[in-house]
Amino acid sequence: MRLNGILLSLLLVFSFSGTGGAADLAKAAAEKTDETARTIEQAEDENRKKTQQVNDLKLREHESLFPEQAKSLAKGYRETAKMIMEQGDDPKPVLDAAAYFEKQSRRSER
Amino acid sequence: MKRKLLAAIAMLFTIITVAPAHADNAVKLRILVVATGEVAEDLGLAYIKPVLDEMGVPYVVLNAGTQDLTPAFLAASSQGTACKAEEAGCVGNYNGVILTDADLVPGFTPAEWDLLHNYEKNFRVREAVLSGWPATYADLEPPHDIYLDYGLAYSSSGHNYDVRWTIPGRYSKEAFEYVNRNNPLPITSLAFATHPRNDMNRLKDGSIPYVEPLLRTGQDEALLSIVRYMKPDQSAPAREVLISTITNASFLMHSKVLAYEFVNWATQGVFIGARFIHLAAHVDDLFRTNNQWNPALDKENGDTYRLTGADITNVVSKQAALRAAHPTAGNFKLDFAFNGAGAVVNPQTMPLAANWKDNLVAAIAANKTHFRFINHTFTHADMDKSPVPADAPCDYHTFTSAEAIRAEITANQNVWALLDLPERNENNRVLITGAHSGLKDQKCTDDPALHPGMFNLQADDIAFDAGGANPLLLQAAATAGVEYLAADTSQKAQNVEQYITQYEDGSQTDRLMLPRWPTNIFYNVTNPSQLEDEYNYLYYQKFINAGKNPCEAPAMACSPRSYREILGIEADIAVRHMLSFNRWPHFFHQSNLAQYDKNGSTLQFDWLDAVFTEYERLFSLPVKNLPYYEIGDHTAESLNARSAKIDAIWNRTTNRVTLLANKAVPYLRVTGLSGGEIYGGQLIGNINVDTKATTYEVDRGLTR
Repeated sequence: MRLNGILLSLLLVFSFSGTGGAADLAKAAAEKTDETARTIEQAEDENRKKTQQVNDLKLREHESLFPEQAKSLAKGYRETAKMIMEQGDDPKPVLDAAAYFEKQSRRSER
Repeated sequence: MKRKLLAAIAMLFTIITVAPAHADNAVKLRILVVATGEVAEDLGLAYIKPVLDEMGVPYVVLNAGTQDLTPAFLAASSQGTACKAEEAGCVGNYNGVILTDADLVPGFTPAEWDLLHNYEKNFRVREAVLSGWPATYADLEPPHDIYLDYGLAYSSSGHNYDVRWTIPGRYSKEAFEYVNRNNPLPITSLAFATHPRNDMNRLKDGSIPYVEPLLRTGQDEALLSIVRYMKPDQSAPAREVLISTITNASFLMHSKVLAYEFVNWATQGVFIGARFIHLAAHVDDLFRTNNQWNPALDKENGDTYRLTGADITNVVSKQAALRAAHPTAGNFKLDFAFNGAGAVVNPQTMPLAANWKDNLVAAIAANKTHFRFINHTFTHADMDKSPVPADAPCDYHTFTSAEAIRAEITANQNVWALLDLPERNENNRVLITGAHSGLKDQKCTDDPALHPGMFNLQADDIAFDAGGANPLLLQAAATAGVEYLAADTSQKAQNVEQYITQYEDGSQTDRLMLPRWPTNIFYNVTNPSQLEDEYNYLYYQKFINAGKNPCEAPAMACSPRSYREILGIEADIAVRHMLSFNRWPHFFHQSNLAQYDKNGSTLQFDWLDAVFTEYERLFSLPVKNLPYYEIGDHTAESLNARSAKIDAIWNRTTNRVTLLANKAVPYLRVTGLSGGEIYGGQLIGNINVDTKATTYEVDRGLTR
């Protein structure tokens, strides 16, 4: 009787720990699946963005006016920078933007 | 006593919430675009101008660099003099304002900003800002009043953001109703990220900007916001502005997504013009064979492919699967441009007899209701000009009479009847010539094998606008009753919807050119490995072989691309075409419908699936898939409307629009009037306008 009781207890312990282990495994598997799906989704988003950038560039190369437009934009941001300084604020972001579009203009002219 | 007091309070409340007074309370349906320069200088103007043109929205451009904004520019009395909103007979000249740049420095003075803002307040007109620095500027002289303030504080700059839609509930029916808000929108150009200040700083008119971001970065910064300028004593905003701090340009995908709302927001959804999203896929050369690309040789080697009856059965099920997989695809159908010589027993023998023993012909006839058809000439003959002198060497056979060309058109119409294909009469008005021939002169150089010294066989072509079209083709088309003629957008001067007026075709009317988009799903490929090989040969290897760097050539590939990458690039390009709102179909060839694996996959449906998948990531609007003759009819209607002078006045008191034109415009598309079609939650009407004024009730569709 006592032996039976011990065996039953052991069985119960094993079955509980077994159930708990399966649930944990299932949870871990689900989390891993979610993580894999997220990784795949992130990779697809990155690929999609790269594709967009390839086409942005390709289409920009067909825009004969872009170098001039980018130059004008840069000039406009330099004027804005002056205005920001007059207003007592920091013109750095706008000067950076001007430099960015000057570079874009030069690159497109080549 | 208490009731009297309540009434007095109610009256006072009414007075203060409805201020200011408007005598006529009317504005013209027209947009004021304030630019920093001409199109050649202003990226924003170059971006929004084609959008307005395509949608048919009237607008006036003020170049802030060279022109001053004056009161007369903004509102005029019936005598044409400058007037104020509270004066009787005073009508605002615009029902929306678009600024291509946020601070318009140095062109716009503080006085001009005051004038513009007062117009927006007094005529209750909204403003949309396409791009630029989110400025806060005060007068340099005391008392240093703030004359420009978007209520935004700069946070960071970058050109690689993944932003998410955060449209407040109050604007859910009014702003960006057409986008798929569940997906992030990649921003690939320079942007200033900001934080809404939402402090109590007032502008000189006492208003305080309250900012509600619509697009936020991962760090919760705003890139696109609605700014409501509130006065403490008023419940309605004094002004409303939609501001983007993202650089926008016509070649950027995110700009394509945003474009419509700049117009829609500024006009409060009431404007002359409209937009629809279109996609049509034309499959050329049905009943013909197409040469096949041989990857081992990097050229065609004499193998050919012609669809089978089994291919057609597969296409029917693929088309049904496409519709089921994509909610925006509706009842999408392929259009077959066919050459009847391949569907008859003997093309040389009259009368023609359908070849019912051919399983392709039988399958097409059995499944004809699943598709649409277009005349692609009887034999796909070349319609280019004959060489001069006539016996000069030429890579292709040419016709020397309009009658012979006409026979190519009418024989195919006869095959249409023999096969009992649908909508024959409607389609007699449409023609796609073989390889769009006859619209430019190839100068007899067409076969690369015959001209090994020529790197580019098109280098000697004479374009459509340089006299290269064949007048005999145009004469034949006119006498055969053809109204619409297909063109190839990749060819010079063929990427414009235009009446062909510069060639004499012997008739009283002109043919209308309808452009079609080519793709890189080439005519001579049936499977991914063939396509991948030819694509990489043309865009990469050919340059390497010639000792050139493909990276330095426009639109070439810096390294070979996989089929998956090619499909992604092609789908992205096609979606950009769709988001330009034009109706132009994409064209393919019958080889692209061959089943290339045991699942029945085809290059054509791989492309369609990729395009709809990409489109549905961004947009939720249903896609229009029109027959080619309807595309022609709508194009003709648009061109007629664009050539008319339309006067439209929106009386806000009666909430009605009065329309008048200088000529008959039987089909004028107008958005925001009651009646018409519901599209993207808005009403789009097709209104008959002429020289007699008619009025229509406004319905902005805000409850739909």
